[in-house]
This record gives sequence, C-alpha cells and structure tokens, in this order.
Amino acid sequence: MGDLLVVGSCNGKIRALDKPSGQVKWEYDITKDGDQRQFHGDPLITDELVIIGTDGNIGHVYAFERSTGLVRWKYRVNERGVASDIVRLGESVYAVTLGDELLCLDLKSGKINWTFHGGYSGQDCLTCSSPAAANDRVYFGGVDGFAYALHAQSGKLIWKRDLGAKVTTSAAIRGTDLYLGTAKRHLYRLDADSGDVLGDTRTEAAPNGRLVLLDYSLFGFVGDELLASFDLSLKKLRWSVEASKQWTSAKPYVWRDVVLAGNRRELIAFRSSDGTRQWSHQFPETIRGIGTSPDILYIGTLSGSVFAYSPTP
Amino acid sequence: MDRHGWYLRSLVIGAVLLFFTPFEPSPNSLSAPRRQAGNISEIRWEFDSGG
Repeated sequence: MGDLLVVGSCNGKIRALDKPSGQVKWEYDITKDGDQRQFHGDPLITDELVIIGTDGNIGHVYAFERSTGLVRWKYRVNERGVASDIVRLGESVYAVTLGDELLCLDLKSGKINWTFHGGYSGQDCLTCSSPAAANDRVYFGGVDGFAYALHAQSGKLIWKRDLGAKVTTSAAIRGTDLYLGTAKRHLYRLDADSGDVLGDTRTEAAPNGRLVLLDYSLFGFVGDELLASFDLSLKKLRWSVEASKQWTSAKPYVWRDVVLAGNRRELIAFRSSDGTRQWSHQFPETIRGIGTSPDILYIGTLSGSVFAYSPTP
Repeated sequence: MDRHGWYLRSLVIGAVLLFFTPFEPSPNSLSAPRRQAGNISEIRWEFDSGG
C-alpha cells in the first residue's frame, strides 16, 4: 500500500504522484475537454474516486478513478466552471459554480440531482463560497450576501439569511453552528437550524478563503495580511499574526499542533493554541498549496514546483 | 491588492494545489519528469508540474 498526492496545476494537468518518490502514477489533461485550465478547490477523495472541480471559460466536475486516473464521469459547467471545494453527504456531492449556483450530483453517476441559484447574476465571482454539508442539509454563502440552507436530498430552500454583503469565505459547520465571513468585515456564527445570528465579530479586513475548524478554534485569513484564530463563539480573538506582505497559501493548514501558512516563499508554522511561531523554512518560489502527511509536507508553488519537505524544527 | 486581486493574479500565473490521500499504485504507472533534490536534506524530492 502506497500513498497518493494529487496535484492540480494551472497548465490544465492533474496528476497523482507517488508520495514517497514523487513519481507520476497517472495524469489527465483537462484542456482536451474544452477551454479550462485550473483547479482551485479541494477535491473529494473516496475509496474509489477523486472528484474535483475545474474552471476557465468553461469547467467541469470530474470523477477520476483513484487507482488509474480514468474518468468515471464528468459534469460540464458552462459558466466558468467550479472553483469551490467538493463536499459529500451520503451518495451526493455538492459544489458551487462561479456563476453562484449550488450543484448536487450523484456520487456514482455524476448525474445532476438538482441545482439552486443564488440571487447573483454578475461576473465578478472569483472566490465563490465552498459549501458545507451536515445533518441532511447543505449550506453555502452567496455572492448576493445571503447564507442559504437547503435540504440535501431535494434542494428545497429551508432558510436564507441576509448578511448584508457578499460572502467572502467558505461555509464551515461545527455541530449546529455555521460560520461565514463577508466583505463588510464581519464573521458570523449562525444557527444552522434556523439561520439566526448567534455571534458576530467585526474584523480588521474582510475574512476570505476557507475557514478551518480545529477543536475549539476557527482559523482563517483576514484580508491579505492577517492569519487569525477565533474562539468558536466568536466572542474572542485568540491570536493573530501578520504576514510580511501577504499570505499566499490557499488557506491555513492544520498539521500536528501547528497552523501552517505561506508567507510568499516562507513557510511558517504557528502553534495552534496561541499563535507562537514555531519554525519556518524558505522555499525558492511562492507557496500556494500544502499537502500533509504524518511526517512530510508537500509544498506546491505558484510557478509549478512541488517539494516534499520534512521539517526539522 | 485585495484578496480577489490576488486570486485573479493566481489564475494568470498558475497555482499548484496539493491534496493527499492513501493510494495503491497502479502496475501500469507512468514514468515522470522528476528530479531528486540536491543536498538539502529536508527536501525529499522535487517535482516540476510545469505550471
């Protein structure tokens, strides 16, 4: 039994690398399916499949066979594709398109079960919110400034909540608490059952990207420069650290007892409990994606190099 | 530059995202452009994805 590292790059190639050696086990070129080149969301990986969204002038949701890279199914999205993470609930998978539409696809066949369109119809949706799914519901934050809860099976709207500004983060859920950030510099905790606002904190800049939950903390980027940790009630900012210019990693990554973030070419590890800087390492290129395993980190860079790195703090 | 500006730039110059999962190698594996890292002991290997 070996290990797989899936690498999506902006030349349209998705590859599965053997983790110990870096050798390519399979690859697929999405440009042969249309004008699309990028992978910006996290895939869903099951026992058999790697399911991932692509974007460009068009995009798809692909399901690759994990062991061979063969395309099990693909679902075409005409309006610029899918840059969100793929999430699963039961035998369905969910994604948000760059047209601000929530998709529900059958996991095994890729057939569309239902779609739901938020209230937005413009073109500046570059970081559409990734959905979250739990307890037979799926949640997402729209560019129209609403948080939505839908029945996972039927797509029926259960509630929506006006947050007053474009949602700029992924949805994150813990128990019955749903977290979302907005362009008007707010981070919200909503009741996932009702949509009622349970907590609301004003932030120095707009929270953005993916929110990461760990134990009793929520981590996220605030603006370009701050990495922040909040308590789950959002009543307390636990700690924050500032990048020298801007954080460049796709999100904060939790690994062991630290939170990792890319500060341009510098990978920095902060103790998750209090934000104390633990160690750092310089790479020759700007850091973007980070993969983790128990002992090795896999550092993807904007110029395309991937490094298997063993920290020795 | 705000975060959206950064994101747009990343669309242009490319980004490598990594995802990890257990994997069983295929017997018909591809060979790959790959090079071992030099004398930096902490770098186990380096792979150029080309973009």
